[in-house]
Amino acid sequence: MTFSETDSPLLEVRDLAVRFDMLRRTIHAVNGLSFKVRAGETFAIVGESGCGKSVTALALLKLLAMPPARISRGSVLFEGQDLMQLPESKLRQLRGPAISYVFQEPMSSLNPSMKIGRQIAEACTLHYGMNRDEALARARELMEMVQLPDAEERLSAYPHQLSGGMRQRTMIAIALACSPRLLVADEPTTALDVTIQAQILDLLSDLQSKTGTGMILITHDLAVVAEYADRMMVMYAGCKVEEGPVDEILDQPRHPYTLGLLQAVPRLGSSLQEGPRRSLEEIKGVVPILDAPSVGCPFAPRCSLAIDICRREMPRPASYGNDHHAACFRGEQVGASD
Amino acid sequence: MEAPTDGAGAGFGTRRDWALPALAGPRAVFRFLGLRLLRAVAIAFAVVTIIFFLFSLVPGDQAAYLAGPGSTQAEIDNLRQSLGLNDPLLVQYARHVTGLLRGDFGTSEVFRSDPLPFILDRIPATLALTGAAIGLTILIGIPAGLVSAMFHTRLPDLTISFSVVALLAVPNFWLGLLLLSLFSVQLGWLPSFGFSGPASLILPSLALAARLVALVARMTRGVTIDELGKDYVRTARSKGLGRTAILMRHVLRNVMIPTLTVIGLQTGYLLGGSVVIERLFAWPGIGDMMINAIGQRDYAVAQAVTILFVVAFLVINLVVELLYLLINPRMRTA
Repeated sequence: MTFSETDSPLLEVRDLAVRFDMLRRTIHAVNGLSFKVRAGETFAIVGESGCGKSVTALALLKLLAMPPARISRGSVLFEGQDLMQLPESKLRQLRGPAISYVFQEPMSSLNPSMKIGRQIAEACTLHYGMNRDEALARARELMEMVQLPDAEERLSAYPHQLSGGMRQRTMIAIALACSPRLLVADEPTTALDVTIQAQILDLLSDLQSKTGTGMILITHDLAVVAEYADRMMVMYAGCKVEEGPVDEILDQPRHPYTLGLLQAVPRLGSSLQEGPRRSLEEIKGVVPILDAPSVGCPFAPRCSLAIDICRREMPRPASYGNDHHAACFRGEQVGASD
Repeated sequence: MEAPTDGAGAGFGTRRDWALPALAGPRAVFRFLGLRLLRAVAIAFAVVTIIFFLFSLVPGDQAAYLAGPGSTQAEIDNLRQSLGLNDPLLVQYARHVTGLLRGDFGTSEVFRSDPLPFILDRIPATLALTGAAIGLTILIGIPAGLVSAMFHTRLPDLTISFSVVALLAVPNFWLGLLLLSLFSVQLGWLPSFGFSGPASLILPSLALAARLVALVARMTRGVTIDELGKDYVRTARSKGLGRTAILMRHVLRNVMIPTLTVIGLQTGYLLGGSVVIERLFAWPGIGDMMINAIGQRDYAVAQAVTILFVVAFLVINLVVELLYLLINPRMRTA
């Protein structure tokens, strides 16, 4: 759309805040989040369950149920256009061709009583004005693209007749139907067997390199991030705590929470049987309830490095060169005490 | 209110082996239908038996009643003998059952003949009434539930939900009386009794359908709200579909699966309601006929109509189960 700004990011989220208005309280699910995704890159969002990853993803195109959700401030610039200012009718035109989604649970994310051919073809009829036959031809093409075997036959299959892996391939075909510029994969492999997980992720990254689409990969699996992502963002309690190139962060994390996540991952080769038994590090404490914005660093109550200022003031992101930022007063000390 | 969550069993009997597993082949479907048919026959037989013995318990001397006032004891005794009422009960029962198997419903003392032609004569009126009531249920109940769900907790929803509770609370004969006094007596818009053209169908079918309309509206609302919260709706939104398209193309079919099942199963109960409503509106159907027969101690007719109701109920249930197979892809072959 905006030819002149080829070096500007595909997606830029600025100071995004999402609230959930419950009966007696307000949940601050996302608090002042900012990040950029460049065209063609894979951007991973990492964090514990409930840290606001999925809410952030759904907020991009206002796919949250509103109410109870409410985007209380911030902007989402997609190709320079602020999506938060657009009316629903304009957003609908962008859902599919601009940004599309692969959801976590392929069984419940597909309509149980609609043939999968139609579910894939639907977006083409809607956005490209294709007639039934053209759309079904396109669906067959997409099914071959995501390597669903026997595409011709499967067009008239129902979701319950497919395996978990095939269902997720169907979801991917739906997401790619309108050749989106940004693909949001929200924990695309959580519901699948380990062996299928790699297949699906390989397929996604393969298709991404073919089509040149940008991808937001939401996951809590750091091994997946290391393998498939270019840059990553670590979220905690609705805030960004660290952002930067994957290699750099995994090599030298600058936020104690990122370090904690890394230490909680078992390493292949560090046998649990032989040698001195070394138990996995856990992050002490629990995720805070988000019914008030935190005054200091949200991680301070669980942080071993926390000092007075951490509890009084929200740390600003400090730069560690090469696009690597961490919101911690003591970033220099992270990992040093080991 | 519960939507079938997965494949097998939903909407069927409670016993597991009667339910058809998801992904069953055509052979399993035939086996399933065969078992259903066998069970229906067994139920019909049991009901015939129960009805026979219940009728034998009805107080009063049938022969004395039929002979009429002023008849002599000898006349009554003769009648009793010719009706076979002096035989042991089990002999009468055997005669009754073998007669039914031959299609013989006994002799109506009022019509002085086989009652079957008279009953068949009245069936179209009852079919028209129940058919109209089901039509009203589908045309009013389902859209009302959908609108209610779309405007969840807002004014249209509150209005519909209030009406639903009101309709469920009102007995159908009283509603019929209210409709009669307003539209026939006060306003004079519609005929108050009998079967004289389509206009006379309106009031009785409204009175008959009211409860089912409310039931279906409430169920449709609940199931739709449930479905709208499901993940596949979010997928549909992420494709760029609007609210109405999502409702009509994605949600409606999933709502119809349990809703049509309930409408089908409730159709049997409409037959019971039609007895009262037909009486109230002097509707020339078999329900009205049954009340007359009971009043006149015409047991042959009363029993025949009761058996007819039971058979209709069983047939409707079988048809509903067949429809459920057709409408729910998860119940069909892999």
